[in-house]
Amino acid sequence: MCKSLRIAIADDEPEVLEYFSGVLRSLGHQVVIQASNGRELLDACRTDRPQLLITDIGMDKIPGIEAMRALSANVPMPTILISALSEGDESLSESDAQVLAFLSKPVKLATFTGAVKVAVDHILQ
Amino acid sequence: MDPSSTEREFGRILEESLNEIFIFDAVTLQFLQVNRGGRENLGMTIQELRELTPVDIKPHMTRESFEALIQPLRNGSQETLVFDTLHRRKNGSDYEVEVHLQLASFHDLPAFVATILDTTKRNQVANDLRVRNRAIESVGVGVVISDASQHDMPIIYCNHAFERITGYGTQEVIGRNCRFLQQDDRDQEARHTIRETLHSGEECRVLLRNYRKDGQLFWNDLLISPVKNSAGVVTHYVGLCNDLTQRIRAEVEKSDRETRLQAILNTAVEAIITIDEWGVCESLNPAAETMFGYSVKEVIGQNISMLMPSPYREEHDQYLQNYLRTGEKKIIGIGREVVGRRKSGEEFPMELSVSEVRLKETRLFTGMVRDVTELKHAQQQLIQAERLTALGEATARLAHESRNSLQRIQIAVETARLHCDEHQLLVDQLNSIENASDRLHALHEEVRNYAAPLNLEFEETTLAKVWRSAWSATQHLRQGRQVHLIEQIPTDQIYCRVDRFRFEQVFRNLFENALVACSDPVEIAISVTETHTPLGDKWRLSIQDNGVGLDEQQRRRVFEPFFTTKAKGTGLGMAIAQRIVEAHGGTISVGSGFLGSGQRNGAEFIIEISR
Repeated sequence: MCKSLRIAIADDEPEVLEYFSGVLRSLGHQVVIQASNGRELLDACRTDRPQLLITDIGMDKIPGIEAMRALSANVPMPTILISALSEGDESLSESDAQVLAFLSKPVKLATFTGAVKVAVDHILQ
Repeated sequence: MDPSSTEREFGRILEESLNEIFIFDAVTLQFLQVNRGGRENLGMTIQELRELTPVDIKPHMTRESFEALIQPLRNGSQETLVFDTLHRRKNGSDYEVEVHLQLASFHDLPAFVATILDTTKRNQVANDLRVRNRAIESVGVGVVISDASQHDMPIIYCNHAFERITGYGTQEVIGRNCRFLQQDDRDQEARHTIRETLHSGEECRVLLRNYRKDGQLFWNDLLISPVKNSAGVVTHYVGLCNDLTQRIRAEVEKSDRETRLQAILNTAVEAIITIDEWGVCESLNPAAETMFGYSVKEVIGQNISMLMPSPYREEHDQYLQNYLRTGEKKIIGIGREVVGRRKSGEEFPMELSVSEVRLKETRLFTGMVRDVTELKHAQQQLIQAERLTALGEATARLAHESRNSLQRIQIAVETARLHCDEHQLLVDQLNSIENASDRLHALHEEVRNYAAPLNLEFEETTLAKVWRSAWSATQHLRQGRQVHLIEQIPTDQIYCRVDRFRFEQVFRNLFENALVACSDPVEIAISVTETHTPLGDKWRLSIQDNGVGLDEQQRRRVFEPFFTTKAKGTGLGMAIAQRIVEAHGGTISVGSGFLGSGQRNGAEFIIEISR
C-alpha cells in the first residue's frame, strides 16, 4: 500500500490508545510508537521519528501539546490533536501550523478515519 | 426800745441757742461764759467750766498746739478760724465738733468767741455715704446713675464695674444718655420695654444688645430702678448692668450642640430608640418610624416590646429586670442580630446594638437598629451565586470526564458493530446506545456551555447574516416539515459588533424552541426596526412564531436556568441566550406576541442591541 504512514499515537486512556491503533493498522498504517504520556512519546521519537503524530492534548507528565511543539521545534511534525476539551478551550497559537486536525472526544470512527485520510493526503502530496 | 433790754433779749437768745457758744479769756484761755447748749452737751456747770480752758475739753490738743492754731487770730492775720476737732464730755465720751472761732471783746477785755456745731450726726451721714460709695465702687455689677431732672437724662455716675464692662472711662460716659451703648443696633424689643417702664415710674429688667468701646457686642442684663424724691417725683434712674455674654454664648453653643445632635438623629439611617429602665420608649428618630411603620406618637410611652415578635415580646421585660438586678449583659454593649416586627406585622432581621446611659437618678438604654433585610437578601444571592459558580466548575469537570467515558462507549459500540454486521437486532441496539450517548454528550455540552465563562470575540457583521447562518444550522429540525422564515427588515445592512459564533447560538436557540413549540405550517417572523434612545441608537429585533405562545408562568420564568417546557431539553437554551445578549450590552425580553393585525399570538422575543 503506497499510502502507508509511520504513525506515533499517544493517549493516557489505554482503551482509546488500543482502539485507534487498531483502526490505523486496519487502514494499512504502521503504528511505530504507542505512548501513554508526553515523556514516553518524546523519548521514543528521538530514535524513530514518525511521519504523523496523533496525540491527546492533555496527559500526565508532558502534555501532548507540549510534546508536539517540542517535536516541531526544527521541522514541523504533522499532527492530529485529540482532546477531551472543546476546541475553543485550548489555545492553539499561530505557530501550531503543523496541526492538521483537532478532534473533540468522543470521536466517532468516521470522523477519525476522515481526519487521518486528510493527513495522509497532506503528507504524501 | 430800751437798748439795754435789747441786749438782754439778745443775750437770752444766745443763751437758749442749741448751738454751743463759748467765750474764753484771750490771755488765760479760761472760759468766761458758756451757753446752755455748751453746758448741757458737756454735762458741766458754768462754775466747773470757769476753771477750764478749751484745751481741757479737747483731748487731742495741747496748750502749745492750740496756741499755734489761734496765732493767726491773735496777730490779726485772720479774722475767723474754722476747724474740726473732738470735745470730751464730763462723763468721758467724745463728740465731733466744727469750731468757728474769732477774737472779740467781752466786758471790754479781749476774749475769743467760739461757736460750736456738734457734727457727730453730719459726719456719720458722710461716713455712711463713703462706705456705700466704696461698696458701689467695688461690686462686680455695673452701676450707672442718670439724672432724670435734666434734659435727655444724662449719666451722672458710673462705677468701676461699669467701666470694665463697657470699656469706657467715667469721663467718657458722664453727660451722655445711656442709649449710646446700643450704637446703631436700635431695633431692639427691649427698648420699648424700657421706655414704657420709665413712663410708668416702675422698675424694669431687660436684656439688651450693647456694644463695648472696642465695638464688641455684650449682652447687658439691665435692671433700671427709678429714685423718687419725697414728693414722689423721679429724680434719678439707677441702672445695674450684668454682662451675660459668656453665659449666653454658652447657652447658644449648648443649643447648637443640641441642634446638631438632633440633626444627626433625624438624618441617621439607623433607627435610634431610647427606653427607660422599665422598657418604656422615650424617643425614636424618623428612621425608626420608617423602619417599624409606627409614628412617634404611637410608640412613645409604650413598652418597647411592641416592636418585637413573640416570644421576645413576652420575654423582654424579664430580660431588662434580670439585667438591672444582676448586671448580666445579654446585649448591652455587644450588639447582635435579632428579629423586629413592623406595624404591619411583618417580621424582619435587624442588627441591634444597645448602650446604657447612666443619669443621676435613673438610666436610659439607647438602641441602634439596622434593618438587614436587604443585606440578608444580598447575602443569600451571593451564596446562590457562589453555589452556581461551584456548580459550573463541577459541571465543566463532569463534562470533561464524561467525554472520556463517552469516548469509551463510542469505541465499544463501533468495535461491536464491526462484529455484528449480519445481526440486525444487535445493530439496532448499538445504534440506540450510540444515540443515547450522543444525546448525553449534547446535554453535557449545553450545560458546560452555560457554566463556562463567556469570552467574546467581537467583529463587525450584519445580523441578517448571523440569523441566516443559525437558520441553516436548524436544517435537521426542519426536514419534512412546512416551515417558513419571514424576514421583515428595512435593509440587509443591519450592522452590529457581535461575537458571530455566540450570537448565532442565540438565534439558533430561539429557532429551535419555535420549531419544537409550533405545529405545521410554522411561520417564524423576524422584524427589525431602528430605535433611538437617550443611551444611543439601537436595533430592535422581534422574533415571533405562530405557535400557542407563552402562558403567564412561562413569560415570567422563561429565562431562568433549568426552566423548560420541552420534553427533551436542559432548560438552559433561553438562559444561555440571555447571557450572551447581555454580554453584548443588549437585552432580550418576552414581547406581547401581537402583530399589527392581531392575527398572530405566538411567542415573541425582543432583542435590543446597540448599533
